[in-house]
Amino acid sequence: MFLFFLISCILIFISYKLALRKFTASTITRENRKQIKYFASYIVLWSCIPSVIFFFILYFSTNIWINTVITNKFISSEPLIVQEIVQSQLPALVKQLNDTNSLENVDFPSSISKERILEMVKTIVHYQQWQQLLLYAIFVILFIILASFLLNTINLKGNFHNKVEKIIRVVLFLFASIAILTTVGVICSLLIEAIKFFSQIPITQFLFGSNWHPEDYELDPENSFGVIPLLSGTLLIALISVSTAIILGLSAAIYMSEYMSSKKRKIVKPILEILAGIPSIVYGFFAAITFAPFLVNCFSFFGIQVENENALTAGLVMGIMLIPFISSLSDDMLHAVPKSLREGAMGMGSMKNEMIRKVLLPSAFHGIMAAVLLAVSRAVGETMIVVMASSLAANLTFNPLEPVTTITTQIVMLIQGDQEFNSPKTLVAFALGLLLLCITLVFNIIAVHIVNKYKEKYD
Amino acid sequence: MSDINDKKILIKDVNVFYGTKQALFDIDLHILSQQVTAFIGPSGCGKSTFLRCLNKMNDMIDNCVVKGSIKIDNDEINAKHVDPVALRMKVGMVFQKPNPFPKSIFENVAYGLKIHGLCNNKAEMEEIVISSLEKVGLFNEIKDRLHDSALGLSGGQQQRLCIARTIAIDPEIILMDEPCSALDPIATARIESLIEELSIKYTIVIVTHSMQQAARVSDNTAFFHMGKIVEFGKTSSIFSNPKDKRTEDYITGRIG
Repeated sequence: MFLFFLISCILIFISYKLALRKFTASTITRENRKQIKYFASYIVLWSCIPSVIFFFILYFSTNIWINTVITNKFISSEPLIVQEIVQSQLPALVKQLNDTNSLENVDFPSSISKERILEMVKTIVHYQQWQQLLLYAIFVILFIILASFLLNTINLKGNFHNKVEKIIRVVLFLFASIAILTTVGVICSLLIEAIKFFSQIPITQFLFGSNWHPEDYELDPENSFGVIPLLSGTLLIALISVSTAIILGLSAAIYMSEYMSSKKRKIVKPILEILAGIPSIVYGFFAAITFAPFLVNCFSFFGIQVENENALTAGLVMGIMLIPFISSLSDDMLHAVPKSLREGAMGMGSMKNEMIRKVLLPSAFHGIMAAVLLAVSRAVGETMIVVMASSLAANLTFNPLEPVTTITTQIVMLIQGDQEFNSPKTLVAFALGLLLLCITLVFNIIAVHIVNKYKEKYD
Repeated sequence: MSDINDKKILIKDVNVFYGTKQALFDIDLHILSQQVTAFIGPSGCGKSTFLRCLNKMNDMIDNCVVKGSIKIDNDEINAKHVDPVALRMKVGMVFQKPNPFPKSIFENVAYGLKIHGLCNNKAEMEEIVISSLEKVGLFNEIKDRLHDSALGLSGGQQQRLCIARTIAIDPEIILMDEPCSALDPIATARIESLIEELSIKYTIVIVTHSMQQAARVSDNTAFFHMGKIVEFGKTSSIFSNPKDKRTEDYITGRIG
């Protein structure tokens, strides 16, 4: 990889310099001065991009070829256990062979001949070395051919700045599409695994069942994967946390934007934004060790017995974590309300609070709503605080003083440790992930919708 | 109703500072009741700043200090104990850029009535809203969409809505800060004729960049220059027979 990078850099540098030299003192005029470096970039881009693409196409196709040759020619004749070892441990074996030139240190079951394995791995390494050499050679040759062909045939009078602009546009498009394709890939892999799960457990049982006992699914597979308790727990905690964040965050935003001098605001706002930088695991500690006992004490004063783990603790602490999401965005939105509207309201004889309630907040409503929905998505997807402060017991309850669990917490528990990847107990994690994705997606769509609707109205 | 030549506002020795910078110097002026007084002058001469002193809008600016005496109906408004909320009920303001609130047309006009609690019931409120809209000639244009957003109106309609909003709480004085500068000539003409109609009942102070507008709508004119009043008097005499060289230069277009 490093070698490839180095070779490309050298080739690019040389071809760029050569291209620059195509323009001699006699051919440079005032008009084409700008063209010189674009001509050089154009040559380099058209030599580099096809060569790199060809390199990778070749790399993947030869890989496939090598793999099929190995399986067909060598491995398929071997006993099953050898096949398994070679196929599953190949990268480690190759590395071992390259480092120490032998496989002495590797432990095999005694029934297998070490020589045979060594021979096979050596053959593979041999192929791979040839592949490497060949690919580099082809890459360099192709690059040189393209560059010299272009250098000798292209008319220097072309519009190279426009052409380079087009190439840059295409490259940007490709990189942008990687982001989108990755998203599609993630959703697809979730979907595939989730479909595997739903082929074993009916989707209606999953969505509408009210029992969540994945640990004893073998006794009663149909009734162990009801997601309702998780959904209610997730929504309960999200509700508590977002309400907390709205009350505290919006108050902070209004105070910062309307009552604080701009000097103080410049100090306080970043401090509040630091809250967003605290890792959620730290909030988890805070919730479990400091806040939960405090809450238990408070309630016991009023004669209410509360367990250490409860939805309220997790919700309140998560609410604190969400404050900067709401306060920072809302503060920006309030600040963006034109001065003329404030003066208009004050000129009518409003008190400041009337101005804020009746003019400012309605004007900034779409932005504040978007911030709130962003916070909701975050709350639904948050894991660590709930893991530490709430519980793993899937209770179907709306009482915030009881322990509840959430979708994300359960995913963590299901994926932990050694797992069989075909048992419904593991596959259900993907179904939960898909459900979570759908929930956040719905909130995001609502957010976009609200923003657009009220923007039309108020801007 | 007071006599036509009553001095509604009496201003004596007003100095305004933004931090250490002085914006207005020793302003002495009187505004006559039920007449239109225009403030003209080049940009940055302090005419808007002075207008904002008359309903204490400068209080909203952190480092702004107003010194001197401003009396409305013989009550000093520049004293500490004066409540700006009560003052602004009496002295309404219309701004340079139309600034309707992001509410319905009805709610915009009803805003002042609601925050000051001026109506006993819904019917009364509706009556005042409609009569205010009629006074600015807007009611017939928008009577079918009273409950649509005010932001859907044209610029001229928005500005008339802002005037309706101001007169709904029945002030005695209306301050207008370049009310036509964001409007096209036709909308401007409508506002100007509206100002004439309103001056029968209200005392109007208008800041304007347009000399023609001042000449058309105002009874009295004050010419501001570099934070001072250079000349003040009947509009007709200022425009036909300016006493100061600077005034003459400004109204003939040689400076400013």
